[in-house]
Amino acid sequence: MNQAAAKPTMNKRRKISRQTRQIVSTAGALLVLAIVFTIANPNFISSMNILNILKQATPIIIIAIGQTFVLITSGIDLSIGSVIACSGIVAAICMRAGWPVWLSMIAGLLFGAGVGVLNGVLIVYGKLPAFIATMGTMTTIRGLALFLTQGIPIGSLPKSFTQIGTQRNWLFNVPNQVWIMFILAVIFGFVLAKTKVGRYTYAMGSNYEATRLSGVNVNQTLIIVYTISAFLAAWAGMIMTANVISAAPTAGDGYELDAVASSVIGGASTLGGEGIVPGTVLGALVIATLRNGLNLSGASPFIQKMIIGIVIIGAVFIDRFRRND
Amino acid sequence: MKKALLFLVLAMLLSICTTAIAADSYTIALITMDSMDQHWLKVKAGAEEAVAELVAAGNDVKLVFDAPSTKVDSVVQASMVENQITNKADAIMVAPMDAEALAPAIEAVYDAGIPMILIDTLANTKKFQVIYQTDNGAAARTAAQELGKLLGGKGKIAIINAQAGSQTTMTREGDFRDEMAKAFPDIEIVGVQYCDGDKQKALNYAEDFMMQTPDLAGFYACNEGSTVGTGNAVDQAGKAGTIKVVGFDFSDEVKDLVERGVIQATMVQNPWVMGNEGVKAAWKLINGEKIADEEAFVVDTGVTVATKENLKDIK
Repeated sequence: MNQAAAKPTMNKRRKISRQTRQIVSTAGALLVLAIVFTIANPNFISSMNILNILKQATPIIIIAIGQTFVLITSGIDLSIGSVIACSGIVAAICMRAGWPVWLSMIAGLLFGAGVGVLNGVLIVYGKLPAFIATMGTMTTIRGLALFLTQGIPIGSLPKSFTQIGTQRNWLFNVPNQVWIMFILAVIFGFVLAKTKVGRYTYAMGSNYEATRLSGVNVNQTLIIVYTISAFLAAWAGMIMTANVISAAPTAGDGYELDAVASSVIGGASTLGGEGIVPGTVLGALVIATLRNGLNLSGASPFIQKMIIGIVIIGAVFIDRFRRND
Repeated sequence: MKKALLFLVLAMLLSICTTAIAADSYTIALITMDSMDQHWLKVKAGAEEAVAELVAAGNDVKLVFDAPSTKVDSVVQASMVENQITNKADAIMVAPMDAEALAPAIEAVYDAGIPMILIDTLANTKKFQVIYQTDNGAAARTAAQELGKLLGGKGKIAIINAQAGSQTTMTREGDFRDEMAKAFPDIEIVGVQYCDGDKQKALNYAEDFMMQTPDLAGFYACNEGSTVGTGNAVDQAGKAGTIKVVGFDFSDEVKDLVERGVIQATMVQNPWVMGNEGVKAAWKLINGEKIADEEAFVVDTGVTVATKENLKDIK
């Protein structure tokens, strides 16, 4: 018992230095990209384009934060993309039924959180591997999204709702959605770094059995982690629906993989125990910057896909290599 | 418990069989690529109305609709076609989701002497009587003419396409480019991006194009998702009307953007006509009439150019 108590503190000290290094290296990569793309096209560094990048990265950052929680427990959440679509649809249906915007959004967010609880329960009590459980809900929720809409996107949403995505704020002319992302990142960054839930999340990913035996309610923590992931996906769903003024049953398809890529570039490990919110935010920004910069420099869309794939492999490879030293 | 379950399954099977046998008279099967896209729902609506007309005229006809629940692999669709041969459908209408994979099933229908009508997309075989489809090349050329005229024959434009791997959307891009080069040589296409029909991605790409080329004059978007995303990007950048948008396909969202003057024109296919004419052709073939002298006859159901002016008339 004494040994078990001593070990985490040691881990923690090492982790902090590594975390700082991770943030610095990902931020460095971002800076290099910015310099290269500015040389390719000076418009890249304009304040308008920087806001564009932040806006384009917003949904991915939000879902990647949730995915980071899940990855730290050495799980995976594949249902994110479907939750994006279906929570947007739930909110849109409520709005079309005449509910106030705020209440409709709460309905959409609660729906998302509910899927998260379901994922957690399937994994904890159903004893399903996370990959299988969330793959199952991914398909089921996508089907529900299609069924609820009968395949037809829901448009004509109230203006006050669409403003949460696009309206630029008095503060630095930044769109509302970027502020929402920022607030969510701060809240969940705090949860992961400073609260009991966060510490248990790391502990479970490092050594599940030891954590369970030391009396941590691992079941409850796992359910909370999957609920956080789905809740954040529902937020992304709100924002994406507001952005295009349309709740489409096909929205968010494949976004779960962008979330994994962002987390991993930002230092999370698919083997668990590793990952921090600031790193993930930077990781998502690297991907968004890469896409935006390549678009602005006029690169072929086919080459772009190749480059992004190579960057994901390269980022993780460099990280592994450094760690082995 | 197990016995009860078995009994239930047997009862269900039996009921399915009896309904199949009870289908005296004529059955026309319609198999589309999926059952979620508005496009296919309109095909189905057109077919249903044609069948309703036949029934009203005193014929005993019914329509059986089937489609993969989502865009899964074409093997599922092929087996649906084969099932309809087994069920002895009197005519089969198919929108093949894969030109190669569906060809054997389509040939099997034809070889079984069942009238074979293709909808929307060709398959890699000549063994069918007639196809009702949009000539995507012709529609793309119309789009090029519309955008060219809107821009007065000069300026820079960008293309937001859907899937890079799909014959349909690549034809919409390729023939648009050819027509632009021929008819409006002073219009420069600065680039293309593929959004996979994802509205959020289309919006991001359109923003990036406006940033890359500050004097961009127009956009051409190749399907519903691309059109909605591009329209919203132009609107949010405050460039509605300044940057001209010509799109493809129709939905409530596209309609709204046309109404607000963000999208100047959109190419609207006529899936309803495809389904409607398809059933009428099926009925003729069932009754031994001919559609055309040749087999594998192609009918272009055309596109309607929807603008602010004629918006009310678009179905």
